[in-house]
Amino acid sequence: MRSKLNRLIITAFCFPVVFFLGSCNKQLSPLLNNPSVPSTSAASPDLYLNNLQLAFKNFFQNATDITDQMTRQEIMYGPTYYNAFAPTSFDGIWQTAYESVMLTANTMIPISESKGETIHAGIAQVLKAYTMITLVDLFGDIPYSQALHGVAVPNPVVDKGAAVYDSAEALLDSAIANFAIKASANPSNDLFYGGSAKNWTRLANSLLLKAYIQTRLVDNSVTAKIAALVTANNLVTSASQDFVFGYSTHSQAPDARNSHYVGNYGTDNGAGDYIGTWFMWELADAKGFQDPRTRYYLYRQCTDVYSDPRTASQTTRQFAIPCLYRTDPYAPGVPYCLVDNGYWGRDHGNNEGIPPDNSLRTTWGLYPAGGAFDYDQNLAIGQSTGRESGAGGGGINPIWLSSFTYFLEAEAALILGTPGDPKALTISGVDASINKVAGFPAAIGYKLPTSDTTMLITATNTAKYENAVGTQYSAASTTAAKLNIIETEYYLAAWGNGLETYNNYRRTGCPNNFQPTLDPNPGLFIRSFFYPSVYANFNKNAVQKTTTNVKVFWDNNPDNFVY
Amino acid sequence: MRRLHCWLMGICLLMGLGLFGQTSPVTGRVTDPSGTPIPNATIRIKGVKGGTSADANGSFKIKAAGNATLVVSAVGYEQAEIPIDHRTAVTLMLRPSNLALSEVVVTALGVRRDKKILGYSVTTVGKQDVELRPEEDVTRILQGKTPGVDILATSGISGSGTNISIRGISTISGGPSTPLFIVDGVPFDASSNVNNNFQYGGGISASSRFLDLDPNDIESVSVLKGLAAATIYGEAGRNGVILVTTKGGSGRKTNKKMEITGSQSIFTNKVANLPDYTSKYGGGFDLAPSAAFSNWGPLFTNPPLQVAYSPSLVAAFPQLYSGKTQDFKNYANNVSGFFRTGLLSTTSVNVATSGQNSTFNANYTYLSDDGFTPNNRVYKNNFGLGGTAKLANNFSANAVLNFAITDMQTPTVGANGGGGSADVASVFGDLIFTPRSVNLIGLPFQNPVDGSSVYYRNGNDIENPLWTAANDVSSDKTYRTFGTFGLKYDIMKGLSVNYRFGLDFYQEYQTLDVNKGGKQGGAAYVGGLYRTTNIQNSIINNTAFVQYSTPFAKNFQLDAQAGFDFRHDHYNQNGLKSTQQIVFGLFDHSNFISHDIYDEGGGDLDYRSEEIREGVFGQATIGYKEWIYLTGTARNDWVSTLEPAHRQQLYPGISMSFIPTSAISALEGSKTVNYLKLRLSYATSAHFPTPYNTRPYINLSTNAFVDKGGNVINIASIPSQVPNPDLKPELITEEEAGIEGRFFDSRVSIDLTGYFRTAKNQILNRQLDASTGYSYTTINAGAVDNKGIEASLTVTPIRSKDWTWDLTGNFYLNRSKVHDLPVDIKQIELNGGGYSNRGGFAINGKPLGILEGSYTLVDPKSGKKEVDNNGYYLGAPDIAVIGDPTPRYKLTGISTLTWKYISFRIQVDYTHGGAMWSNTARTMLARGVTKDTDFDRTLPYTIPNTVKQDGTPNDIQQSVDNIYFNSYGFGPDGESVWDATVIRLREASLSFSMPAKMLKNTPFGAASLSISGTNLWYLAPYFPKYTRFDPEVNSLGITNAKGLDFFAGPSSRRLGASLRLSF
Repeated sequence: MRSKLNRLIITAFCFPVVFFLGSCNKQLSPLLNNPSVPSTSAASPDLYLNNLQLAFKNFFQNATDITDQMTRQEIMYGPTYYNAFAPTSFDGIWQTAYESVMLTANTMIPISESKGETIHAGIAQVLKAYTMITLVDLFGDIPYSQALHGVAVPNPVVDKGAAVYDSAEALLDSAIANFAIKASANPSNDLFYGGSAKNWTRLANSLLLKAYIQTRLVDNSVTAKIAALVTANNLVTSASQDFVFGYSTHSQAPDARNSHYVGNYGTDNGAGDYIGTWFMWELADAKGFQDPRTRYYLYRQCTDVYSDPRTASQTTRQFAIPCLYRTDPYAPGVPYCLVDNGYWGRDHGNNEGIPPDNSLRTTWGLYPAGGAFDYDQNLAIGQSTGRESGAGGGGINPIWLSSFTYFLEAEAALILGTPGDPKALTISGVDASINKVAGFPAAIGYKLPTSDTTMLITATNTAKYENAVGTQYSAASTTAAKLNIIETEYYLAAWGNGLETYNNYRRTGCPNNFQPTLDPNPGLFIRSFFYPSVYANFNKNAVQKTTTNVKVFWDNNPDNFVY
Repeated sequence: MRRLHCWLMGICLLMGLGLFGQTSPVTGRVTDPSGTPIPNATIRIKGVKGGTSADANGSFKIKAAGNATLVVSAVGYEQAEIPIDHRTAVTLMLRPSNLALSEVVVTALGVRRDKKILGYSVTTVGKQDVELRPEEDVTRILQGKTPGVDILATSGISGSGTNISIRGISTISGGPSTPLFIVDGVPFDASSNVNNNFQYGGGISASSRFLDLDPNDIESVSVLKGLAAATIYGEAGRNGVILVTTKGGSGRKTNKKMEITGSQSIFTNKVANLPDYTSKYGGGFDLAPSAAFSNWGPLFTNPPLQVAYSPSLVAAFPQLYSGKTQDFKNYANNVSGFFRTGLLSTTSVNVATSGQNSTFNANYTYLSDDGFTPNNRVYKNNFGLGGTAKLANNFSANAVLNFAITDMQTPTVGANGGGGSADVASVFGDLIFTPRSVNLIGLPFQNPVDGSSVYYRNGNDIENPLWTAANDVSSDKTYRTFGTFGLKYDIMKGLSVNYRFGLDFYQEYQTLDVNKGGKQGGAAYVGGLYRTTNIQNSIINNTAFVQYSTPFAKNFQLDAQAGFDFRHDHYNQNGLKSTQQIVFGLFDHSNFISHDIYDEGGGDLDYRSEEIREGVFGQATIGYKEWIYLTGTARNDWVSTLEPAHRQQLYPGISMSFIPTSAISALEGSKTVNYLKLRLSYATSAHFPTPYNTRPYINLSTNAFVDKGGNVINIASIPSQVPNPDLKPELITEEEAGIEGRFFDSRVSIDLTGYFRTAKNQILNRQLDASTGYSYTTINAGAVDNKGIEASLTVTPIRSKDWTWDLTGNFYLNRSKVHDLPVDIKQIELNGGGYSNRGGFAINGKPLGILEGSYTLVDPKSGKKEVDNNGYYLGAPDIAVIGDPTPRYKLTGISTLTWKYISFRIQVDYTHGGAMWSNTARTMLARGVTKDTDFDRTLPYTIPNTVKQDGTPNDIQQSVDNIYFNSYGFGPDGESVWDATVIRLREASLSFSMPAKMLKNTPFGAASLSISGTNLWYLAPYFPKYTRFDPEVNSLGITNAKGLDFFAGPSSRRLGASLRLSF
């Protein structure tokens, strides 16, 4: 009895051992697949394209936020160019560019092409090309031919910027070819052009124009290419063809509002950004009368610092805007600290502590952020009642506008002698820009809170402005002075796109009267940014820059060309 | 001499006795040589089954024949055989056992083994060192008591997690090195279910799940430090094993009058360290008064300056503050008044009984700990039931079932930048550097109409810390069941089969409740936020093994175990985050407009994971006499996290124990060398990756964007990880040598261990430059060595009838080194190691977890630091090593002085070295709030011993507040690293045990009272003096990286008393 029981028990214990050894792999292998995520076959070109478009929007937003600090549109804290940006500031843009935009494009282009979804493929090619060009414009030489191969090439070496440009131009050509084919299906969500192959073709051509003019200093073969593009005239030349990313007013889960809106109007904490003093002066004062776009571009939370009860006492004022009580470090005529008592920003390279002015300083207006139109309401921004919340953040990113095309054509006509009258093209650019801004409230479905024509863009003040530009242009005696007028107008039209102004500045040195940095010895202007920390620290072949004046391949201007 | 007498007498008497005699009652008392009664001694009659045990006074009664011999034994004493010699009353005297030969410890698989056999180091902590402590977290109680074990609290928040690592960190990118917890023989999940990045409060606000253990239900804790000890447990034991035996699982026999034990403790919980704030200067900058974050305003004057109330306060309470002014004076208690005196109360009842063949134990403990921070508290309910039974049919059974409800809540403690930044919610972030002239405590913090935060800033752009404490609260409630059922069958003498089923199951509910009206955390927070996460975790474990032990040949003994182990882990989590609260104060998803499945940091709140680990193992020990023991161990595992070709790993080990005091006849009975043991072992263990690293997949996100037309955009993205199907297990090897000894009549005892551990071909999360298209991949590469010394020395300078004085010193040092990282890898950021430009890294040739950050450029010619054109430190654009956070060594001294029934114990911990980047300390300097910056602030200042960029001496004068703000405080990271050496009076206690005499006529079997305190005093001498910073924090939470503080908050000091009664 006892021994029988023994045997039974021994069997009972040994059985599972045998069973378990036998069943080992059978029950373990199914657990290799993550139950929370789909396998790679689940992705469609449409879902990839959606990701690509949103990633591209983030990439652009990130790029413009860095570059508009260089051209005095937003504040660069500095105080010197050397310590204006830590390399980690660029980690996000680098990751978005490679991991989200370019890798997704590389993954979806072959799938889309094999399915005959040529518009999908073309869009991916255009967005990828734009990203490549922009990375070169920001950082100079970047990994490209060895990039995006995963662990097969864990430390991609850099390609020359010129080579990356060439690849991007070829990619734009491929995109144009794709757009010419009748697609088997339209994208289910084209957030830019609603699936219009025609508009995408115009954009691709315009980006080629941009690339050619960008390289005009180092490549004299571009003149003919530009002339051909201008003659063919299949470019972005009207507002309906503008390449913009449109936001909505959806505020949570997800927050689909313009990021400048979120960062300034999103809470009751007031503005997070500072607008550059010089940019505001250029709009409000430089021509002797106010640019008709000013009240669309900028919103003053405090229209007059001296009469406003919030800053009426000198103690409060001293505290909120301390620069008023410091010696003006600039030469006469250079704007400093405060423009017209209400345009309250910050000077280039001012890194002192931030005063409690979040609810007082000037901030992003209606265009392009979807913020508030400035009709002297003199209210702090925010989300609660009693605060000015503007158009709810349903703004845009102006990535390529028809005005930009005109200004580039003007520059090419002036410098390279390509077809067209530089003055007329400049005026066309100004006109396109002002019309874009004037039509903006309607375009985003926002009803302006005022009909006061002294504040709105009207035919009269548009004409006045365009005449003034025309007079200035005619009065300019040298090519350099004419170029400065073209670029200054481009600069004013490009609000919300720091990339173009930063590129133009390095290429042409214009506008040529920027406010200098507050520090009299800021070091050399940033001709290309430091490499991102993730690249410098994780790529064995990376060599970080040690100076700020490492020039991009298309920039052969001298070190002190810009400041 | 006296002993000899005794023996001779016994032998003489024995010889003169007849073989049989009538049984008659004998009463007696068991005492030690000094006459002090020995409670609970076991008394049986030689050659007869059964027996009795003495009561708490050492008294017993037994029926025995007059010629019988009594066999008396008690823990800690040598067994004695004493003839009755027809007496009816006897006094039995036992000698304390001065040999450690009889010490028994719990080892792997819950097998009790003689400690002398073990070829590796085991530290055992008994219940007397664990219970009645002012601490709910058992690991924090172990601090300093076990050399080789590094325990670091994340913060002073009650219920916050605790980092624990044994013999250093062996992994670069594996998860936290928390050891394996085995409770009553079965695995117990000890992870921390952080569902948010440390930046958003995931680090400090999350508990470690060993918080669910009840220190008062613990019988003993054994710490198996080395791999030789833990191999049997498989890869889960690679970070060491903490074996907890609960009272229910112990099977310990109990006496009458000890069947019910009740205890009650009350402790206060206070903030231990607040900075010494300046009383001279108030808020502002450049000596001008203002509502700045900084305290660089003017000197306080008498009468005080008058300043306006903030617009938000006036708007909220126009009738009270409109048009009025307030004093610009030193509101001395504005920070200290924020904190409260918390109360920690523990009530515990234990019922135990035992029969001839069975034991039963039930335990219930209720703990409530109100932290020193408002709205921080922990409630714990622990039930434990356990029993053992030896059945007549050769079966033995044991079962333990524990149920724990742990309920923790705290205001959010995020990684605040000290910049008054509104990006991250943190209750300490905006509190600790409050300018002195801010009347935080005396003014309202909430708008009575809409509930929003009201504070001193003109733009009302920082959140009132009182508002945060009341309105931004995370909570974590866990219902946990864990237990074991074991069955053992003795087939024949020496051979048994064992089966053990283990279950650990918990449901954890985490919430984050943020009312609308706050100021920090961005748009999602200020509109109100509610996040709920439900977690289910289960570990099911089946173990079966055969145990065989037999003597063989002459003088040889074999002990062997072999069996298999099957562990199945399931983790399942669902969550929902809602934003845009409608009704203030109500937290229900229906009260929020928007719903989302991503947490604040963007992490997915819904996911599952499942893992199976199967293992077969064997272990055999051969002993020769009591001289030498040799143990061989091997285990082979199969895991579900690797592809079939690589999923199996065998790892063997061998260890030896040699006892010269038994083997060398000259040492036998030596008064100088009472006991000596040498240990030597070589062992290996494995490390398997977490699930889902080998197969490609894509990420789908729904609702990624909503366009103007209301179209919802869904996306597919390529994950940032490159899967690696060739991933292999990692093998860890360790050599260990040690010596244990007792000398001079056991007045001196030592335990010394040296170890060398190396983990090669690490399972490495290799960060990739994004230009590869990916952020990281998992590969096998790189190695981490850890070598160290663990030493324990106990000296008993006084041992007399009434007085005993024991002094124990524990010493621990560990050095780690990273090597063999592939040549194309510059450095790897530790998992959870901070930020890519400031955190813990692995670099070839450097200690693991070395801190890197931005640093000040140094002029190569003069070797001096450079300043920029403003006279501030000039930061380099890249990062470099700024410090090694690993302490040089740790030392603990414990003194226990006992006089009769009173015992006084103190424990002092000393940590030497280790660097820390402290945001708290640097912000104190940057903002001029402490006495460190009490100098004359009107004089301009030039940073001494620096040069300008052209190499000439720095002569740039700056205002002193600008220098402190831009250079000493918020300058390059390298300027904010301090030596974290700290000495601490960890514990002091005075206990009184009621003498048995006094309890004689009471129903009580034992009564004791103790008064104790923790963290009574500390000094971190290298931090700026008046910041009084306590470096024993880790803002990163439960992770392998250390040395970073982002306003982790102050530490806690607890003082109180405990009463315990048994009857």
